[in-house]
Amino acid sequence: MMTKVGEVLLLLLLPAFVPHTDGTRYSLPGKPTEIKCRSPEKETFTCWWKPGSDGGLPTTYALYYRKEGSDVVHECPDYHTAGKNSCFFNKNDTVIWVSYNITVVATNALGKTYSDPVDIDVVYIVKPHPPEKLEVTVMKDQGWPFLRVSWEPPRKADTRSGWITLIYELRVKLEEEESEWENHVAGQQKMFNIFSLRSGGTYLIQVRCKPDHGFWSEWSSTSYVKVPECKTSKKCLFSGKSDEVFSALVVSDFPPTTSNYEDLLVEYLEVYVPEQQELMVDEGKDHDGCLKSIGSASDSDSGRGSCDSDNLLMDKSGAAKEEQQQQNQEGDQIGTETQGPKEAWEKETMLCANEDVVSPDASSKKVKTWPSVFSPVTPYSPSPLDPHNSLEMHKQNCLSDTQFPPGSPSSDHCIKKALQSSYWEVCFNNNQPYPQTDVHQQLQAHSDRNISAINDGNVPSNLLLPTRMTEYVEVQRLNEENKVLLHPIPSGHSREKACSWVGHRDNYSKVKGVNSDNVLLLQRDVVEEESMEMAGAAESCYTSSIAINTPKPTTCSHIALPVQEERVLAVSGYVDTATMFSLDT
Amino acid sequence: HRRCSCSVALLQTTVLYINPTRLDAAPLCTNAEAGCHVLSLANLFDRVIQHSARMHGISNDLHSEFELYFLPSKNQVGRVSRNCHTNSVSSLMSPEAFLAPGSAEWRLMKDYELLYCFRRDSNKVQNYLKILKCRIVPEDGC
Repeated sequence: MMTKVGEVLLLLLLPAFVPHTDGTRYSLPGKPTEIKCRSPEKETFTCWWKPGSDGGLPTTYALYYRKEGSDVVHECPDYHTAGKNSCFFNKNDTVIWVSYNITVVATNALGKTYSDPVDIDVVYIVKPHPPEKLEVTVMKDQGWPFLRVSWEPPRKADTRSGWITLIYELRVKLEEEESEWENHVAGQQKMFNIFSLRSGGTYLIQVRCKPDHGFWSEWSSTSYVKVPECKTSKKCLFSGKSDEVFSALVVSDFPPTTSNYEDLLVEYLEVYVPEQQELMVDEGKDHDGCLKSIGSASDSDSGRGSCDSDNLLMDKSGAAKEEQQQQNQEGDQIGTETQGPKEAWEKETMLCANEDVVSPDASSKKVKTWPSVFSPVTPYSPSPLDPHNSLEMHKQNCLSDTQFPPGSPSSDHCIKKALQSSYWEVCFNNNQPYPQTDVHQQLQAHSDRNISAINDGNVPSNLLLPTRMTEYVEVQRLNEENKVLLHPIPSGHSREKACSWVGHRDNYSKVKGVNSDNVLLLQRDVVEEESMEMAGAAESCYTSSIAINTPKPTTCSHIALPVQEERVLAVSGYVDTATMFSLDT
Repeated sequence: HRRCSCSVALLQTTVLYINPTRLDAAPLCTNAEAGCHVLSLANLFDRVIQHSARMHGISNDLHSEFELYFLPSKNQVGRVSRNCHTNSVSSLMSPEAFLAPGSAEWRLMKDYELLYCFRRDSNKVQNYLKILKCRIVPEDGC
């Protein structure tokens, strides 16, 4: 009996002890992993996977997919075009804005192993090819050499029709051991200028691109360029540190005032930073969704002209008279109030100004002030101005309302003009006047006077940004005279005591409803505390509107806005008041 | 059942003010007071596209954060049918059918679908506007 059992046991265990002929054990294939899909032009795409172990047996791989909303399973149409362990979807098989659910199966003689499924939407997996035809030339501007870099978008990407929008980034470094790459975002431009070169040095330049929602391409092939040696001793760029070079540039008549470069989209800005004066070269005006500016040679008020160092570096006394004349010629009813409440305004500006503010500080000697901010393009400077800093500074640039007589509680609610939204959407368009609404004209008129008066003439009124840039201005409330008080949209910076800020993170107005007069009732939930000065309302409800003919506010400060048409947005719809009102007639 | 009509409303708003047959400037002020500037169509497009980009950025953030914090597992993602505003084809499957209506899960999926659609719709709107602009007012950027 025992022996029989033993025999059976032995028989059962025997296969385990008999080695296979080749010495390996077979098993199911390993799970395919790391499924990655990319599309170079938003018209086709490819998926790659990483095979697992083959289990010792020949293993084949198959890719299956399902489109959203459908139960039908398809197999990969093309396993070869994109190489091993890949699947290529051509134009016919690629649908945008539709979710693909993709699974890869490994099969060998023993069975199948499925990968984890992956969901993709082609529109979010775009990784373009690198830009092409990178060209670098050395050019000279009044003896100073600079590099002009230009390139083309990758061939397959359809930027001409607007199907893809690409933004570019380039990087430069000297051909020597310890130098680091210096990156510059060029926005949608296909050209870029690099200044502050070391004479005699050789530079390496590469460029890459990215769609607005997608991945960066690989860096293009490198271009090499050698900067000629400097011969004249006077204007020579010695091979020192870049900031030394920059200070040399600032002293001279750089940036160029002669506009030889009509096609250049380069804007020259000078920003006054305490302790430090830096030259910002605003090369691009782009950020996500922000389109490049349209340089128009015919526009006399292109920002370039105003940025000329001639205008900025103005003598105090000389400018003051000029400003007065300019104002008097303006012809509207601005009058000559500038001298009177000027001190009060200055005082309020001081109250509102923070320490780091780029405000026309009357006490500074020569103010090279640009009281506004542009898109956060990295300026070409050795220690670039942090875009965030400049935003902070400009937000705190506070202009008081001329409507308030001095000494009134105007210091509690001075008008602060939002010169930049917190989403960096601002573009510097050359030929683009601000959308003219009644209200904005009022504001613009005020700010004209304000800046000239407060600056003591340091900044001429033709430098005013409102005439040139897209701004988001948030309305704080109405005062008694149905004038609009504005305040900028701060994000997380401290509030001054003298000014009442209403801190919002969002500047969207939720539509509360429509009343019987077809008036759009807006509502806003205020997140942070605010000081309510309107009729002592204790509730934290708040609305914003641009007033044209609005009734007096009620205690709850629900300000109504007349809607032009019967087009009423859904109750849960969000209205961007800036949009609404700038498009309204 | 909330529907986010933001992107559609935005598109409606822009379409109402853009008349593609007229290529001249669209005046924004009726009374021709001094200093009343007229915007070009290209300019108008630029602004609208900026807004749509902003809209999409926000919707993208919303969607990512929702996925990150509120979705315990991604199992249902693939099976969700997208009844997005900009979809022309109505889908057959709906995850809500498998969940008890009114339950927390059901609400979660509804919210997720809303954000998913908002993101997709705003992306479509943005893309559409860019193409429209290049077709109507071609310029260097196109």
